[in-house]
Amino acid sequence: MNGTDGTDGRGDTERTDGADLTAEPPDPLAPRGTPLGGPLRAVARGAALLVMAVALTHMALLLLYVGPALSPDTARPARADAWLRPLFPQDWNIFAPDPPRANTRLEVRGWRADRPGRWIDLTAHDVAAHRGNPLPSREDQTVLRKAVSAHLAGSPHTQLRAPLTPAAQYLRNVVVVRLDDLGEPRPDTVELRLRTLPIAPPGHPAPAASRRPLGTWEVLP
Amino acid sequence: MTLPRALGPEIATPRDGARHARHRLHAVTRTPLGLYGAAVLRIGVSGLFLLNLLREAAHADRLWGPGSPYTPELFRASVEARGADGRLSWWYTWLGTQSPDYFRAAYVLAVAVSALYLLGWHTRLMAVLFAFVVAGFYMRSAVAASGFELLSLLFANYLVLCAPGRRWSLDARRAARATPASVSRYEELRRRVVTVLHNAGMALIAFQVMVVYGTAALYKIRGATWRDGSALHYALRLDDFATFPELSVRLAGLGSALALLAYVTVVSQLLFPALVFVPRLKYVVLVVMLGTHLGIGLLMALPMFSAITVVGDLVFLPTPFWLRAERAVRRLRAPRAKSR
Repeated sequence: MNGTDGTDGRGDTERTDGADLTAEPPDPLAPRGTPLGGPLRAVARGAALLVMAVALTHMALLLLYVGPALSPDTARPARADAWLRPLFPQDWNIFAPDPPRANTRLEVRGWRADRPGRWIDLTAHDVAAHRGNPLPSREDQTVLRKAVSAHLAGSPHTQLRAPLTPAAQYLRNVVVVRLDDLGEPRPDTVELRLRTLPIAPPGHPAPAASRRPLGTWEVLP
Repeated sequence: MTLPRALGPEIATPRDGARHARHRLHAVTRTPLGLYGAAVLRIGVSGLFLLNLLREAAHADRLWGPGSPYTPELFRASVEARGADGRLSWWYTWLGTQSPDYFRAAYVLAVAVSALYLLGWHTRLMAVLFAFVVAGFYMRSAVAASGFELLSLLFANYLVLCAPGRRWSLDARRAARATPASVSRYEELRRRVVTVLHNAGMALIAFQVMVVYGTAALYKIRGATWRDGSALHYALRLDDFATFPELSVRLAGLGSALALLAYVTVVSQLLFPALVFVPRLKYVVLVVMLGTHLGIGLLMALPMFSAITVVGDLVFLPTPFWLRAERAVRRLRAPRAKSR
């Protein structure tokens, strides 16, 4: 690092055609190798060892954090969880262990003054939004899908006017926003159901489609 | 020196081993490794984050702002429910606001910080601000986060440790113009600590990318469809992940070639952490990864996720590769400059 500094050639490596052009130009902010002397050298060594110890600890806890997730029944070690969350979350199970084997459609209808409106397929909007669009908005592509799967992962409520889980409240809010976007009048309650369209396995006909109710939820004013 | 070469020289005897260990410790405190890789990561991550902010400008209020269906109350409740992270939680809960003006200011701040970090203007400060911005935006819409948001957060955090402004930045231009002064002992000490932090950060980034691929592969091995080769048959028929459904369905009809592609995907992800340190083979693995990600990005409606994983892969390219790339770009630009 040392002797190459201080010459005037730093800015114009493109002109020095005869030199080794794959040699890295000097980094003016790198350590110069100035001798530190006893105490300062001890500080430098201590800092280096501390940084390396913390980095290795992080790596070890990262492995402990993702490791148990690979076998479904093991819980995450609390220490790894406390270290990595919330700033270093890990979630790498896209299309794994298996990709979904069915397309799902969220269908909703609003109720006003105890009379039902028409059923609307909200997923259809998302599907249309990213058809042929190489850079779709997250609002059109991810929000509804993730809201449905977060709700399904929790405990689904199906009773009218029961206290809703946060996931259900969120899904309801997403649905209300979508209905508003579609120009529907604001309903008193929304009724949600999930249509499942299984994909035909290779060489077999597709299993029959099915529907399941997700709930009827009050819309707050 | 490249990151892999610094991490793994040939060790023949135990005495060699001890000498190499001392030599390596010396290198790790004196030489910042992979400065070009760090710069590429800075440019890639901040550029994609900026692109995402601008792309979602019309949707910003619904994704991160007071108009989100994930209301500020739901957001606060989720933070409180998780509990325990009290004193430092302002770092990632600062965007949970009811005020449209506050949110507009936050959005402008995010755009400005991303752009300045991209350019490498006061990189050290911008790296911290960028991590702050990314954490706030990530947490506010974590309910709708995909792999892109997740990787942005991780890379932004690790880059705080690194020196990603030493190459290809406004800071580097300024430093190159300044006349080099002699370095005091305290300045030398500071530089050595900064160098260790940078090298640790780069090692953490490389390790994180290896964890991403290794975990993704191990998850898949558990699945019956990845084992019998039918996973892509299903994945290509999902409406939620089809940019060009006709093309996807045509690909899905390829049968055994598709099964082979599924196996290549799993095996390349599984072996990535090991193969990426093998001198020539690593280019093959990186090209396979690039192909996989281009396919996912174009066909499966996941462009931002694909783009940021490609940026993560680039960390494993050695400094001589970037120097050659720089030279090639200069050559391409030189004739044009002359004709002007």
